[in-house]
Amino acid sequence: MTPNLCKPWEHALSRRQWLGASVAGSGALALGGLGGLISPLTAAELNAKDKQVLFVWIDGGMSQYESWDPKPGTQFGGPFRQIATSLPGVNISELMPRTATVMHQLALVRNMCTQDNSHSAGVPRIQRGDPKNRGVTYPFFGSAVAKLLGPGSSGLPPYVSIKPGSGGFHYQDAGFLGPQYGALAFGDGKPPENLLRHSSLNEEDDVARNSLRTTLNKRYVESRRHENAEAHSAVYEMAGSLMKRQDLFDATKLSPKDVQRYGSHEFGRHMLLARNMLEAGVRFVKVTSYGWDTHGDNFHGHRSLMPRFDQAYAAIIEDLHERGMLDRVLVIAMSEFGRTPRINGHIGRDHWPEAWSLALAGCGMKRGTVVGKTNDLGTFVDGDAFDIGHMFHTWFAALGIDSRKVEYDNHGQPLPIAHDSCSVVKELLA
Amino acid sequence: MNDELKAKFEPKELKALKVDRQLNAARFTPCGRFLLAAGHDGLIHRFDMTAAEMPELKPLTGHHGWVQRLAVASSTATSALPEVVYSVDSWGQLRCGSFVDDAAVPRWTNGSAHNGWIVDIALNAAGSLVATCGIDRAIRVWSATDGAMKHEFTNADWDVLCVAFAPDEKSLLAGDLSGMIRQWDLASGKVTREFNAAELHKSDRLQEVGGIRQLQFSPDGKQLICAGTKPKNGGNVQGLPTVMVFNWETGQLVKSFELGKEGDVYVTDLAFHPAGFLMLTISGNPGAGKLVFRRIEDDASFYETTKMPNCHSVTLHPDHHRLAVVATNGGSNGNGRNLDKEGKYPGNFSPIHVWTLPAG
Repeated sequence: MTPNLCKPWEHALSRRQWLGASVAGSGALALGGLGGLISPLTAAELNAKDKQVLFVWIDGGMSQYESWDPKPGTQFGGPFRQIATSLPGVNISELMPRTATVMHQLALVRNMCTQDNSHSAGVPRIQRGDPKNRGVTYPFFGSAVAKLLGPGSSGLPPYVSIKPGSGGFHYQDAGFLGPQYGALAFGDGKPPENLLRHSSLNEEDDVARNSLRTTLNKRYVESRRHENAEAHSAVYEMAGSLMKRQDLFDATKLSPKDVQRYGSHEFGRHMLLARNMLEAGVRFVKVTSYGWDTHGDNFHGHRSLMPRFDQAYAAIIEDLHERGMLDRVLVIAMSEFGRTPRINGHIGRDHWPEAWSLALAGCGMKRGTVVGKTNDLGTFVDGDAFDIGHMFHTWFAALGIDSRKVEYDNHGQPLPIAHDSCSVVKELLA
Repeated sequence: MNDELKAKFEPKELKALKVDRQLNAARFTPCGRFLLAAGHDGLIHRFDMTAAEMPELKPLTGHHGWVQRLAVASSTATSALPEVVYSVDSWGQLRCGSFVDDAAVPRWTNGSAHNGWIVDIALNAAGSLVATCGIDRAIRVWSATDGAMKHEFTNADWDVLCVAFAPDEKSLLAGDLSGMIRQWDLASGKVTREFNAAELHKSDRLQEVGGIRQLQFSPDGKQLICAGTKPKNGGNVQGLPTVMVFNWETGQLVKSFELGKEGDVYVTDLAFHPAGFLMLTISGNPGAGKLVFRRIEDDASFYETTKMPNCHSVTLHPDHHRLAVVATNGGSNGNGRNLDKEGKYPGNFSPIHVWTLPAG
């Protein structure tokens, strides 16, 4: 019988749920250890283990015209102007004045051409790197990094997701890697409810109780599925590590100046929390912004959305640079596709995977570069186009992982970590 | 439905004028000889309304980005300058030029009237002042004769989406994205009254949706009419096209009515017919568009047509017997690569539907 994998971590997460769900207690798991990789990481790759990722997911599809690849004064260009940036000769939308000042830190890709124009299929397809179909579900990039680089020395969960709405444990992100490589999601940037030990329970009793649980769990797991037990244990460990870092969620500890710089809006708050998570050593931080599917009123919509994105995005690039973290934090900002050149009757733009842009910065990336271009109208890529597989190879390379050598081991099935027909975009790498 | 009114004013379509680009607005000139249309292509398209075929004439140039709105005098008698159109674009330019002479030399122009997208323009009844507003949150009043700036106000927190002069012309009304309408006293530069139409705005995630999209006074000056949508969500904006009517003297909201379903979304333009009813255009989901005739005092519209997809503007000819509606081609939307028969990527366009109205 196929085990039902619907476990408490799928749902809104609380400490009580975590602890109750934990049925295996073999101590701290070697999350992201070398097991499960056919070609193990080299010494150089191991040195990369302090590298981190900030993955800014702009859900629904940011318009490339109103952001990274403006075509003002052309048929599909829309109403906005372009502005010069700190990178001579490179212009972006006037809706991004702050980002324009940090453009010299970025590596811009303007020739993305991907395969899916629907959200339902496109979102996971892009975030899993759209590999060749081998009958398995590949991990999201966050899960892949959690597996390949492990949690680091922070003791914090390796893959966290800061998002609007509810939180929980997104085990689905992990695909065949197994649920322990899923994302721990902080709904609205808040920690799970009831994370702290109840006041009626003293530390000594808590330790004793956990010791008993560990013993019972060991006994329980001996006759059950190893992967599920590891997942339970991993989630349990995450709860434990977060209990020690409540300060990360304490809004009163935030500098008012930082709050102002990032913005008091949802995305600003979440990006500021992301910065703090990265400073605390979380390996992979994903920040999601919803509401970008502007099929209607696209221009007033982007006029409202873009300045908030611009504010927080530029602020975190500045901060990572000033803190010397940009050398080791790879920053990716992207959607599942761009938006159509054609402006529909609702003055909106629809889905457009044919020619769109994404922005990279930080670890391993060549700073102040633009790769690829679109034609004069912005309708299609002019010259070579890149698919998401190219980006996965490039991101792995930036993190010090050789995507041609390192493979996953899915119960004996060797699997490439990125699409085997794509390759690294060398122009993007430092 | 008021059958008597419908029988009296039901329009018949005369012709659809073809323009190969999208348009934001159209206005008849006060002399009635021309129909002007503001384009996404930075042009003011012109049509000769004296000829039966209504041919397109050489367009007026000089704008950049989108020509967003046009303003012409309400009659030839109230124009500070003869035969001119005032126009604004999305790159911040305010322009005054002849609508007769197709030479590109304007009477006057200000290339940086605003920092960026000018969303609306209004001309006072005397034809002496032009008001503009935009996403720079500035509200400015200019001399219609020479373009000199006369007044400047700042709406601190929100984009300003429309303006209208008060009937006594001593103050200016400005409606913003938050759904607030402020009355600015021209002499003191102070806000003297506020009209709350916050139902026309919603904060949805990162997006501020809706706002005051139309602002006009009734011909008798006793009612202030604003319109837009009651937004349900951002992104693919959905909402109920809505009109709100305030008593100008008391400032009280006297009526609010909706003109469609959630997918119909925005009231995009409105004009008064001399017989006292409103003519309104509506645009929402691609394909959803309406022309609606309705008296404010009634409980329902007396005429609606959904024949034209995504209607963005309506204008009444000075003879009161012709009406022009800027609409959109059918099949204007679609995800992904949709090429035409020649393998080219097609853009959308805005047919201008010209209707005749019965004598009434």
